[in-house]
Amino acid sequence: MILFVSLLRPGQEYLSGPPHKTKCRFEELTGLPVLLQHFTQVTPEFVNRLPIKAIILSGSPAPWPELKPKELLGLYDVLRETEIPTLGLCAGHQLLDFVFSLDFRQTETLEDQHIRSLGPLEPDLAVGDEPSGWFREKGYYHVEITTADPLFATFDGHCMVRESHMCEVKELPPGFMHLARSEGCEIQAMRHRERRMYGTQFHPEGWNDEYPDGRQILTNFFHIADLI
Amino acid sequence: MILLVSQHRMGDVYANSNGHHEIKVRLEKIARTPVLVQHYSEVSPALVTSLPVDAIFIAGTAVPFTEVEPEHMQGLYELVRTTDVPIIGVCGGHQLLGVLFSHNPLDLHNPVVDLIRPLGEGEYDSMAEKCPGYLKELGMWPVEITVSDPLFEGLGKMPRFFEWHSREIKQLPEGFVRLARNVNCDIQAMKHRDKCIYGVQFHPENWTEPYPAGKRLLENFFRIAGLIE
Repeated sequence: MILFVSLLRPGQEYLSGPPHKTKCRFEELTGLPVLLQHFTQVTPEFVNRLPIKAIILSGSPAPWPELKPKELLGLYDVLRETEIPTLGLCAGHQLLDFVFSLDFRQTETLEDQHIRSLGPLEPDLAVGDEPSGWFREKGYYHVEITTADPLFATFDGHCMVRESHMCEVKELPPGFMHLARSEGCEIQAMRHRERRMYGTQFHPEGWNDEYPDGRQILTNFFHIADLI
Repeated sequence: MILLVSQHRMGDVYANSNGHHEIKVRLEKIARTPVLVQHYSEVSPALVTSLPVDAIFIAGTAVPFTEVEPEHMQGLYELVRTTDVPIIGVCGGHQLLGVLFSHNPLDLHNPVVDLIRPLGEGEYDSMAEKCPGYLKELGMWPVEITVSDPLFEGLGKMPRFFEWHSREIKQLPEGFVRLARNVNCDIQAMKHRDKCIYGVQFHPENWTEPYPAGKRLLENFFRIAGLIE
């Protein structure tokens, strides 16, 4: 079984649509059941009780100050210690940065780490409730693979993947190494040096027929996790 | 862990649904255990033995069984016929139990489940877009408990539950006893004689504050299943 942790706001729960659709995509790729859980439900005891073979952290549209470290403590304790193969997607990638850079028991709030402010001639890609005035990557972007890794096996130096973010990881957290970059964002992918733990700023789960690379990257992760 | 079996139409309809999110959250709160949602085509005895499944909840459906490929139902069929894990089927899940325990379980054209009845002269049609001309039960209807059972503990003789169906089980499957009926539908609840398998025609998961009976019924079920004290 794969544990898919939703990082959407408490009260907002998992929203309709995307997390379930993504769950179905993981199930299609692995043939394994995927248990969707809200981050407030996840603790080391919870994870130890179930036969969990991989952990995937979802993205989230919420600004980081809305997710409180004390609500994330259970998940924090899991991620700090776990040997289970783990993949953080977008906000999940940024969460790995926070988890390995900060002591959540001593931290009041998590701050948005914006990529940068918009230049005067740049379009604002924010829609709906999204905060305006920030540079965003949105759509399918060229990502350059800077370090050979099984996550990018079968790729020749670059891939085209779905992006949707205005925040980023500014500095590699302790214990992690850099794997990929894009023109707009330096840390597009990272991995833990000793564990099978990855973060991608992009959304491999957002592949489509025209841009299928994300599907292959997920397949590679599931290979790394010995699930397929 | 609870296994929640979805009967959404296979493929994009299921993938684009919200994965029974509201039901999942309600069951997780009541039973204090995670709910794994799986499509009926993904379910089998092997899946249930590989995971610590304590109870199985078969959700309703708007898809007539005649549109289901029998081979996609094979795993669920084998599961419900062989497992000792407590099962509750609601609405379309209850009707599915009616089919899977009938004499022709994988003939999904099986007349065991059919439309309730044609509307009478001048009778109100609660939803004309769906099965026009036929009676639909929609709303919080009173249901008469005909056989006392732990499932209905604390609910009195005539609780109200949310109903939303156009079909019903016409004939009690072999090995089952009828537990409840109402003015529109004769088999509102049933139970297997020897195993912990319940079917309810209504939607207990759609309880509301004014009509909380469905919540109590689910708590009773999870108590019977040993999930809560």
